[in-house]
Amino acid sequence: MTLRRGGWLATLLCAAWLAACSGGESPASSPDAARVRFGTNNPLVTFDPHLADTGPQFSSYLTLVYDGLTELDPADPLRPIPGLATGWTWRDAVTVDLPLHQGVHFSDGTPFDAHAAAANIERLIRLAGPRINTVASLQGASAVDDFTVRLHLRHPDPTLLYNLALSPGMMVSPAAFDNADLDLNPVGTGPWRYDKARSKIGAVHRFEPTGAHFNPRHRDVPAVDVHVLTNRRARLNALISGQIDIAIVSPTEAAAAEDLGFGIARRANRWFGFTILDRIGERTPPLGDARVRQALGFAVDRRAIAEAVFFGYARAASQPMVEGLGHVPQLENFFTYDPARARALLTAAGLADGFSFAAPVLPDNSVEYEAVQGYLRDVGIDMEITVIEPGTIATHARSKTFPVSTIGYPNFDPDSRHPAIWSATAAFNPFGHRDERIERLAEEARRSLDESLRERNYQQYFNILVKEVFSLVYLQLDDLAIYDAAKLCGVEVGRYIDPMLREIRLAARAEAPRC
Amino acid sequence: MLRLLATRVAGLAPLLLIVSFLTFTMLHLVPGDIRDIILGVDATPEQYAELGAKLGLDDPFLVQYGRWLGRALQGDLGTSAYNSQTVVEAVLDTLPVTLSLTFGGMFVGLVIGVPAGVYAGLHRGGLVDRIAVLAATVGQALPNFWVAILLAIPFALWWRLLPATGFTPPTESVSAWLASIALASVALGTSASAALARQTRGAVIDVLGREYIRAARARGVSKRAVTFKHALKNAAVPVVTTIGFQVNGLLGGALIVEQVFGLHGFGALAIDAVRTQDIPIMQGVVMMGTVIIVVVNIAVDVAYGYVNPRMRPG
Amino acid sequence: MSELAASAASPEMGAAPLSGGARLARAFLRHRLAAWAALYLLVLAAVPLIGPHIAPHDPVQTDLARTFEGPGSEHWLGTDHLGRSMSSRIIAATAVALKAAALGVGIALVLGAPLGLVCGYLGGWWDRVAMRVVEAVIALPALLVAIAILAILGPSLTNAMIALGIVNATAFFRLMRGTALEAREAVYVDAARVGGASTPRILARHVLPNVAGPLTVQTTLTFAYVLLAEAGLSYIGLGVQPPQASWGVMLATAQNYLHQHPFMVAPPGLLIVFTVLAFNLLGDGLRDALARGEAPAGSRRRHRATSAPPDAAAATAGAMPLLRVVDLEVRFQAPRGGELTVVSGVGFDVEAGRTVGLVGESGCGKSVTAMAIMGLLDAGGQATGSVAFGGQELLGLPEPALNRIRGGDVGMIFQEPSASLNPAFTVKHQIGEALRLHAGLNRRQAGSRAVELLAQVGIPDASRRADDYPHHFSGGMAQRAMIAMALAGDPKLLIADEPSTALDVTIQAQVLDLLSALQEERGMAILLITHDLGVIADLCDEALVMYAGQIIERGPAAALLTAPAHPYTAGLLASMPQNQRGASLAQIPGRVPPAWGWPAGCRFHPRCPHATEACAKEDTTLRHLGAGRWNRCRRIGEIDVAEGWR
Repeated sequence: MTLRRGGWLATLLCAAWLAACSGGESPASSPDAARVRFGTNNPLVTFDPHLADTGPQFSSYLTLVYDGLTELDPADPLRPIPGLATGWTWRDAVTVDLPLHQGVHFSDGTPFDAHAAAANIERLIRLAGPRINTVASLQGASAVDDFTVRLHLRHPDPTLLYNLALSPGMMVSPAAFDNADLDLNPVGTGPWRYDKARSKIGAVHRFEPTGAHFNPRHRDVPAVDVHVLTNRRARLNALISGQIDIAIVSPTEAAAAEDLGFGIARRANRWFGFTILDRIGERTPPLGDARVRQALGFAVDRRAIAEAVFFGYARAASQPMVEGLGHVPQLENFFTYDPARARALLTAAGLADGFSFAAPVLPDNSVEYEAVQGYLRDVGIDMEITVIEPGTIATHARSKTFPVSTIGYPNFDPDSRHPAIWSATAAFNPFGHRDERIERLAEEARRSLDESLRERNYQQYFNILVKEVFSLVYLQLDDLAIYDAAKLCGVEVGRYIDPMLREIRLAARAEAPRC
Repeated sequence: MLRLLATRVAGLAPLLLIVSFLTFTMLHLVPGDIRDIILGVDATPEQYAELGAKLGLDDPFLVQYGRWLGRALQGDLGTSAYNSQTVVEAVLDTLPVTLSLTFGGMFVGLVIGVPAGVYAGLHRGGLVDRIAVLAATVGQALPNFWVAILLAIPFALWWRLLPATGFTPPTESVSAWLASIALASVALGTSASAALARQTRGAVIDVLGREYIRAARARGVSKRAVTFKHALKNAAVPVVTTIGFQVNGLLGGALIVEQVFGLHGFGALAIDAVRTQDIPIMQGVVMMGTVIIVVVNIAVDVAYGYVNPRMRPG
Repeated sequence: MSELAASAASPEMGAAPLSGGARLARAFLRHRLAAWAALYLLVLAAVPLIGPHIAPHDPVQTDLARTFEGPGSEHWLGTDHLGRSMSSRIIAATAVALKAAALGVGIALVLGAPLGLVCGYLGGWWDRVAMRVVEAVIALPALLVAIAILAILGPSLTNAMIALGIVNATAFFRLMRGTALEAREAVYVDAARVGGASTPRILARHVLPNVAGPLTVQTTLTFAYVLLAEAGLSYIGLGVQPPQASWGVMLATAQNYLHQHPFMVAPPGLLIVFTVLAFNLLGDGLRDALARGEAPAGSRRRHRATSAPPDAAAATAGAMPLLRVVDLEVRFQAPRGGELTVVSGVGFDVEAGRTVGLVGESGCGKSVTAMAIMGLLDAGGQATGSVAFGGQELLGLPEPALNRIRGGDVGMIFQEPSASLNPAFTVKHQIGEALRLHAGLNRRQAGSRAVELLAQVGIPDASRRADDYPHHFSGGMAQRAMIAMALAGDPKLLIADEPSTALDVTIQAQVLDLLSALQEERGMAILLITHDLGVIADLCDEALVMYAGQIIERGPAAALLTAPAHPYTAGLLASMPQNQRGASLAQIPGRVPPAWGWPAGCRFHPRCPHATEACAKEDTTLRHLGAGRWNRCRRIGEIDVAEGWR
């Protein structure tokens, strides 16, 4: 071994290191000032819309590169408006015709027509992805002519066109159906093209505008970089030090950003509380008693938590649905902060000495549940917080490990919530609690095109659910985005956690109505 | 020397086999279910069962391991359990970040720790020595993520001299790369330099007291030459060994510190993989982490052979 | 390093002593800090016991109306994000953190130590398998493994500690295995085994006491590591169990509220830093204390100035000899201040081509004398008097000039040849170094000359062996190489400090023969330092007997050995095996006193069978007895020196 040979080895190691460090090429792209750099805590799961879960995948990734037959009205994100379809006509309660835009091409050059649309619907049904139950009424699709697609339903479904505006209804190039890398290499018609070469999975995903969208509103969109920053403090820091322009944040960081003069966008999208899984009292008998479940509701000072823990980005509430369908105005203040009443209810249930139960809590949510825990302790209820690994919360909600679940469900669209949470056959009803009243009300409502019947049924449904406390709601929480108000305008939080990226424009080159 | 290298590299194979089995077993025991991630919160039990069959989750453990090993031997570490990214791709994507931080921390540790240790050792008992000893002791007591956060506040948030998050590969811009890893490297290098300074100081003091130093002086070698030729080469032996030990600590520190700076390295990959039950990825990360540690240790052994002739075979 | 200096002047092995002030500061920094650290940790350890009684508030009592309060009279450290009392929480967290850390360390200890002990002691197949596994575990990225283990067990403080315990167990395993392995080879364990002791008994009796110290150090340092790692794992969200909190959890939580209430990070952050610091300091202190043993308390005492007159006799008439040492005194800075005289009033001559032996027990100052001549005293040592070589005064000579003489006209060889060769360079390189410095040869010439020298000192196949590293040389060969190195400068005087002591008996004779052959050939003088009177008899023209820093007898070697005039010399002779035909070996009772414990009067009197009261009171002088013989004993002529040793 000589020094020379050592030097050779060191050189080799250095070379290997540098080679490893060299990622893809770095072609010139628009400077950062012309890009919307968005910080999210949600890593990309898949670009295949038929296999994607809705939520963040939809709003952070899919909506950039795909279009649905319908899309959501930016002004009222629960209302479907025409997308790739120029409109729709119900032929009867189970058949709808959708005329399509002409001259639209997928990013691989394949033309979009009724055959492609029908193939997509068939694929959606065949793959039976995670969102299939939201479009369970779909039986099939056919091309009436080259630019009209017809959807066939098993039964009437008032929510179909809304759910098709989300990931299930997005149109993929039929030529790409069998691409093994479709999950990481999308082929759609959206306003952006995914720049795979310059993206790093799990770190940053880059999107360049095509400038050729069928909808003129989406032709002037700026380039978007989606940065995955899972650490909440890192997202705030990145915004402050200028690595990103907009980020999804928790209330703590939003409060700090507001102090520092950043823009805030918010929308109440989720409720906070418990879903009582052991409503039959199998493992935790006290929870089988509705009075005890009510006591949990009266024991907690909702307003104090909204202010102190959520820095005001939350609202005291008693019911799951925040507005519209399933929202019951009379229930708005059903629960008040009344520890005496909570104790009385416990005493009436024969639990004057209190009881204890365990709750699974994600590390990021532990603070708010610690606050709840403090109030419950005051009335003699010992809530033991078990911190669980992120990614296991759904597993726990499917099992009998814990008597309650702490998943914060979306506070709208009761048609989707019932079969997932409260139905006797719901995945998140591990104890199999069955209530004939709500089963009937929901089944009727979900298959009826009569809006007033739907309205009536869901009012009754949630009246039962809130008063008998199947789920206990403490607060309605805001989803929050913070952003550089000098650079961006048109920032609004959508229904699915993230800001609506299609609506954001650069202040420097934006036209009047949006800014 | 080549033979030493060859035996060490050959020894890597059984080690990786043991490591792969250990990790595979360990990760197999992880609770939770990848299906929750893929299917989301509203899936039906049927979808659940179907996906399980597709992913082979119901096969016996050894069958699953055998399948993985068979592919691994063909250079295919598999595909992420929930998207089409290959494990090799995912690991190579994150490798630059982790290597940059690990070696950046090492670089800072060496640049600060070794000269400080040599100076303190040569001027034992002096003011500089006492300050260095105290600083090194305190430096080893600081949690590195804490140092990272404290460094980020003035440099990134107040003065905005350096980015608070993000990684620029050196191929894109060397200066931007250095800026993107500077704070993390310094945070990691704090404890590394403290450890190296203590070790170097101790080694220098130890060597200076050796008989061969006196013997060299007795044959007329000047004090300066004795220090810089005879003493430092021997003092390098324990210091080089320390570098080997430090790699494991630096790699671990990098996992945590990268979170502070929102960097997507092995830490993010591993934490995501654990959370999403992505066993192939976790497997790949642990294997690659092992390879890094072993390769650095082989390099250390080679360097060790250079500074310490006793370690050379033959 | 000379034995005397090692025991007296420099309490730290292989370390250079310091100036007085710096040494005081260091003593404070080290031992005082370690003591303070121990005290701090004791107080901390009491917190879990008394904490609940002194905490003013319930640590989990929330008050959402009073969040983020600064320190005040009601809440000493203010309140946190849920309005809980920070002071009460930090007290509770201390208990959690310490218990958790103790659990982590305990698991590592219980998992690693017994296994290491058994594997190391039993060895063989089990040991090999265990070592392979440990090697694999060490190569694993520790924190990644901890994260994976946490993923299996679920995040909680206890599980985090189990993970850290498993990851840290290897350190204890290796420590215990190493010690047990060593102990297995040790004589006393062999003896115990022969005596029929069972394995567990041997482990408990003989191995555990040896490993207790290092184990304590390792435990202390692992505590520090575990506390830090726990904070890191808490930061990435693994290890939390609200509303309980450890320091790590509190620190991690405080990050989120940096904007709202920066103060929140201070209490847990500082406690972590201080506690880790304390554990590290304690560990360092313990390790230091173990490594050196405690320096004797007596070392603080200043040695009173010696009143003994110089060995005036050194001023022998006639032409200037090759080496003349006059009234040499060597002092060292004492470890805790003050000065220590270790050699006093030493004087002698070495004529060209002659061999002078310097003899005495270990710790008498022989080596220090040699080092003083070479100007190579350890830092803090100072020589006064005169050392004249070839008429040139060496004391106070500037370094460059001294460097020309060292290795040039004066060569030196040492007791431990293997330790005296630099392991990092080839033998040829080291000999060549001397040649390049003193003979002005270039690299290639030096190389071939080095091979010649090696051949000259009797190393077979010298041209090949020259390229070897010192560790390839046996002790005898290494000493030959050292001699070759000393010959490189063609010395007029060779100082040989116990050249054969560390070697096998047969090799000893060969080395000594080589020395006398070389002397004859080159006509160089030798100053031979030895504790072996037999060597003196074989090689020396003149002998100097040293005791406790003084020359106590001097004379022609043959005369001195046949008729010793000082009881000490007689005692040394009596204890030589060949001088005691049949009779049991005589021993001089007691030991050479250390430099800070030299008695008044004759320094030998406490061990002397002939000592009187006067011997204990009056200092002695080296008196000329005629025929080149000198002696320090006041009772010379009154006693039969050999008498006391029968």
